[in-house]
Amino acid sequence: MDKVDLLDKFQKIAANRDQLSAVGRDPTSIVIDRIISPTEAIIDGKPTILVGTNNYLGLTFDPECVAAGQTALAESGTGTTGSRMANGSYAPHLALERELAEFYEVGHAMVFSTGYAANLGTMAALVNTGDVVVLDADAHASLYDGCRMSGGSVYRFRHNDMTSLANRLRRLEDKASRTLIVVEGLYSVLGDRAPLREIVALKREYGAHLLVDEAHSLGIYGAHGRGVCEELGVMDDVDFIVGTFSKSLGATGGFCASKHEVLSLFRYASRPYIFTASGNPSVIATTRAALRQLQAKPEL
Amino acid sequence: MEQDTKEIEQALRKILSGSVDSSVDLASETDFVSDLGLESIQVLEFIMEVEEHFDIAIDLESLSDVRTVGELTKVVAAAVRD
Repeated sequence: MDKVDLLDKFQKIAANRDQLSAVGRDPTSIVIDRIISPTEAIIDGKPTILVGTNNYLGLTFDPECVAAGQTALAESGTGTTGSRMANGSYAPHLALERELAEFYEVGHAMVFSTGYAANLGTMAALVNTGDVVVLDADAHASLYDGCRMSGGSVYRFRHNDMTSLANRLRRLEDKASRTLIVVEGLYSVLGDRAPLREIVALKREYGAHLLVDEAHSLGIYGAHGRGVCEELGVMDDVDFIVGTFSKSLGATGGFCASKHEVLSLFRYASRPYIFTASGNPSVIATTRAALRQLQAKPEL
Repeated sequence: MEQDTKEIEQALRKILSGSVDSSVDLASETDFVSDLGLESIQVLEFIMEVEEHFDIAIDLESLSDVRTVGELTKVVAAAVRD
């Protein structure tokens, strides 16, 4: 048998990259020389419209957000240099968590260093061996990775197909009560929304729990900008909402908000929370300012 | 047991015929990706159809080592027995 080298696998990746380059541009090679506005940049010397940006509210250059970041940078430095478990939380981390809990009117919120870590950290804490995840097939990669990290059994259902979801829950029988249904409010790739009222009805029927990723819907849907859960009037039936600061709020970081008090215990059980440096003071400050802007200016 | 396996393999072939050239011979050792040229997303779609056909649920972990028709047959047989 031929001996396989650790690095052999990269030949296939290199071939894929070369194919991409041959038909146009390798996406990893695009360099933004200068950012001009929330939706425009100079690329290859030319003014370019950033149609792929997630800067939904255009807050990255908002004067109040920029000023909040500059003040925090001057007062608290460039980074926290450690995790909240090992080095403690800065007061603004806790303030942001309170403000998120108030924004969603759920009582509890927890901040993570990235949106990706929020999904990994929430699912890894919430789902363990013996538990079950029933996941929309078109869910984001971070939710798939969270499933893998959780150790639970993972079953996919057809995207937005309630018959497929019902069949999955029916087959679980007495395991339905330890099952987490995982969907997105607004699907990033397809641009469609989850039929949350129907999903909530099935959740109730089978006694399962529900997590909704509102990464792309925060600030966009609902009377208060809370997302598709608010838009469809199902906030009270959603157990966990996860999201990111890196889209409509123009920063980096992520969160989980929940009506369940156990969320505060995730801090002791979530490796992506425990073993990551906490959010930079300037980033936390711009996120808080953006959340204030979102609430103060519904016209955004 | 052997009969069950044959029936499952036959059903898999029938479901696969919708997305694979009918002239391709399917054997237990046929690899979905390298032999049939399926993309990973097509394999997942095919497995969803298999689950619906047999009214079973296969967790993703069980699929992580499945590459061939024969390997999937074993996973399906176990899920049917459950």
